[in-house]
Amino acid sequence: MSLFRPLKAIFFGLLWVFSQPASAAYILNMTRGVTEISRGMHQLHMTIFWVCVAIGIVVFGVMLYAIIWHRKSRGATAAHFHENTWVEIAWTVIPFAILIMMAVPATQLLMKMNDTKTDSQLSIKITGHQWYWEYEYLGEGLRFNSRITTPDEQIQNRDIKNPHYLREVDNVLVVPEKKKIRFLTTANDVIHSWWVPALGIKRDAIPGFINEAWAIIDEPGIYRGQCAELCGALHGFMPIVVEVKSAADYETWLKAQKAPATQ
Amino acid sequence: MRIPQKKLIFLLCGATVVMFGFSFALVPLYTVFCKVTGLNGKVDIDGPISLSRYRSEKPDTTLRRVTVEFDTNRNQQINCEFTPNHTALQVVPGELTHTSYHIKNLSPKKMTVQAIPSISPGIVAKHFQKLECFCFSQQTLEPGQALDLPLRFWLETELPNDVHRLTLSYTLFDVTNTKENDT
Amino acid sequence: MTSVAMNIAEHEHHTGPAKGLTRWLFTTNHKDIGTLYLWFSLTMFLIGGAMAMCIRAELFKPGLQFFEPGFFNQLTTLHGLIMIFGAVMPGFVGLANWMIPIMVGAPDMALPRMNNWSFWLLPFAFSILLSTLFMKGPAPDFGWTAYAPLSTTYGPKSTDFFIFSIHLMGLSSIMGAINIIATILNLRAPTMTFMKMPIFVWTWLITAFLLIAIMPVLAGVVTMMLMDRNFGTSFFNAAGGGDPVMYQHIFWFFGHPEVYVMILPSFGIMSEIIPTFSRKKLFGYSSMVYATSSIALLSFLVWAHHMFTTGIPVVAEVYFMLATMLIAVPTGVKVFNWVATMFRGSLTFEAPMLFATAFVVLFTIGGFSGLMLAMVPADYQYHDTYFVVAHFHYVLVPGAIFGIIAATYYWLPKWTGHYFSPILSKIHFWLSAISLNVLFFPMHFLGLAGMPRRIPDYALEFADFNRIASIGGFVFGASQILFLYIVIKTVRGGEPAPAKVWEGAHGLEWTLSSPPPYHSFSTPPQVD
Repeated sequence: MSLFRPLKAIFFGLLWVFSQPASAAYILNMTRGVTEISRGMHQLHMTIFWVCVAIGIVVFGVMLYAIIWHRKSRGATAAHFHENTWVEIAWTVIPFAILIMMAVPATQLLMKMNDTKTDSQLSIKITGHQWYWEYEYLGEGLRFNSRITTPDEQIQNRDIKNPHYLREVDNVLVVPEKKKIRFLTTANDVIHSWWVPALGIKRDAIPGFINEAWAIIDEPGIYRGQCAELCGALHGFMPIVVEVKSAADYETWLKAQKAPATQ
Repeated sequence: MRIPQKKLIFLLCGATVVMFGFSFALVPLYTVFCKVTGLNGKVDIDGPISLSRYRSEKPDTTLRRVTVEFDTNRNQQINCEFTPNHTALQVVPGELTHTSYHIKNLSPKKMTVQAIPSISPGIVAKHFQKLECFCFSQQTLEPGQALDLPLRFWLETELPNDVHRLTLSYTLFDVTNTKENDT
Repeated sequence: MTSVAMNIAEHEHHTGPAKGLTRWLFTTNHKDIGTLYLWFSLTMFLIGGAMAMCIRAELFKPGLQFFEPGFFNQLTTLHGLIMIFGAVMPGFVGLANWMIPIMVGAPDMALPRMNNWSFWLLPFAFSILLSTLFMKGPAPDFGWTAYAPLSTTYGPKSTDFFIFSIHLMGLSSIMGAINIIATILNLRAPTMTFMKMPIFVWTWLITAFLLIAIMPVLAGVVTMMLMDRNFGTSFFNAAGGGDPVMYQHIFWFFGHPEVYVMILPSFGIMSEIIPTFSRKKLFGYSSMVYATSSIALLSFLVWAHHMFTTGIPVVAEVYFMLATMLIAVPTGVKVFNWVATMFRGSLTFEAPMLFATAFVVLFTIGGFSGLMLAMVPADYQYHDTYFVVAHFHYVLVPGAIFGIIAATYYWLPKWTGHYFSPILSKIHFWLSAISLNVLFFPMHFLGLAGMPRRIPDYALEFADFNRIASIGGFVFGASQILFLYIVIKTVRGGEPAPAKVWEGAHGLEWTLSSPPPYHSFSTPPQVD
């Protein structure tokens, strides 16, 4: 039974799949996001991906050749080699060199992610609770909870699911664009993790400890994420919604929040 | 290479016991590692740095200022108020800074609490020295009692130059009913 | 017990194995114990698989259809524990028990009575674990990784039973590992030097050392959990000066070498099967040995790549990234060696070779996603998403599970004396190989699109690939029932198999009859 046809089908199938423009239904790839860091992550991801594809084509290509041409049913007789020092050295050293080349951009991006040289302009403390998020704007006296608002009827399949099913909250986190924001994470009970792919931020929220991540967001808009660390029964029901406004709109919003006393 | 059976079994069982002990040894090893490297932003709560060590600290002669943000958390939302009296201060590395926290027991029962500090960015932790901190001991409050808890600290001048801002976060835990309670 | 065992031993010595239940309860024969482990592994694989079917049924569509979210967490937790500790590890131990004494020319394992104990601990341990489903209150529901404080302060009562069960499984693994090392070091035929041993024996020797190093660490960390839960300690509780992240460090110090425990025997199996069906010696025998040893050593130095988002310092992240990437080098060497064995061989594709070929391709794909995960900045987007689920299922299903299945097809005619049905086995292969890709490949896309792990319900943009994955899952699950049928059918009868079952096979096991005598090699064989 020929292995060639199925393998060929899989290979070309994958090639077709990856060349498709992403539609809303079949998302194939990581988001580029709206920060320099998120774009860097996407870039790194694509670089490593293509290196792996290239290595795969070479290795699987040789295998495919053997599967077709070195079959006993084709009359192939076995050769007798079972070692070759130079080849073995080559295929140890060359992968090692490829890895070094991959490590360089990765390390550079990692250093950028940990940059503290520029001061931040806003610090937001994020507390993970079972099962919602709490946001506090440090120094502004503003604090509120952010809970999922998807109706139970939709979750229990008694009603049609709305487009933002499981990714909508009562109070969104509002932040200004183009300012360096420090996101500090902690938790009230168990470990949670705050993840918004478009911002390139995922940080564990650990009870008794504080972690930080920073972002400078290029574009206003609404960006969604959710908890990324198993935290109990409703782990899948703690979404995150971030609304990025222009600096002026953010100031207006902030003033409006602080006008009545907010818990 | 053949090893006498009994000796081999003995060695392998010994290795098993050693690895079990090793896993427990990782606990103090981890603590030491955290203290030395400031990993995880863990800050010492064993006790105050001595005043003489502070006096030997040379103050920063540059005009460098670091913003220290003060943050508070109540684990499991225990029934008390816990807020910093300063939300942020501009601090000179090498100089002693004094601030305080407000805590009030809102419950109808006596409450014993332990404050656990954490610092971000983590690398700052080993440069953050506390002369006096309410986190060194547990605090017991009668129902309705309010306290003003002091914190005196300084940032070592060895603090890396590219750090402009750090956040000191305290989480308050209720230890009234636990074995940690030393009253 | 001792007088009964002595009677049975005398009985065996004179008239063959005991009859009935007593044979299986008290056997000290490595072939019987191997059989027990393998049946246990297959049973647990089907139970864990049934749980997976439940999970995929729930995830077929958005919305909560069948299970409460809390119970879903119990399903994912038990699925992981059962597959790792009940299916994969005992499966490889069963193969080790059956084949290592024969492959080294020994009459049995070094410690036959401890061998019996090592097995029977497992049904006992898993009865305890599975019984948590029937207790009042939830079964363990914190993931197989059991992070604190979810598993300590917030863990259900059944957690203490989970801990006890893990201790028993660990004891079983450690005793098995001691037995394997003693057998390989001391009971080899006199002319079998280390570099003449079959590669399967080498990979198990190395795996056994890994087990002795890591299972006690798992025992230690779950004991710390027990102490935090019941004896007022604060290993992982920040209130008492402890650290939840320390749990992760200690757990993954066990956990990372553990995944190599689950794959190294599979590497060994592939290194036996591929030369046989290529009719060509394994390419690079010594580099295979060195590569396996380097992988084992390196596996202790990379644990924190499971923890990149916990807030470890950047220096640590760089180190763990580089060390993790390094493992790709010896692993790549092994893949190249398998391909070089096939190249210019004389290939036939009976079931063992089909599974072995699929292993090389699909495990390598799992290796590629592993390399991507190692890149720290990108990992911030992959961590705790379905991208990780895709990665480890690619290395575990076409990796470890195909290893066990391939080995079963390879050695089943030797064990039973009957060939299995070639057509049925090929159907099993194609159904499994295709459906597992339909099941797991879309999970890469789901992770990249933003779907986290361990959730029973998801946003609408994840619906299409989840539906496809579930369909693949149902077909894959059904195909394994076919495997069960094939195994039972072959045990009961089939075309008689000669001693040398496969044309290209070499090694001591092919010098014995099929099935081999109850006691083989009472005198050590000559090995050239």
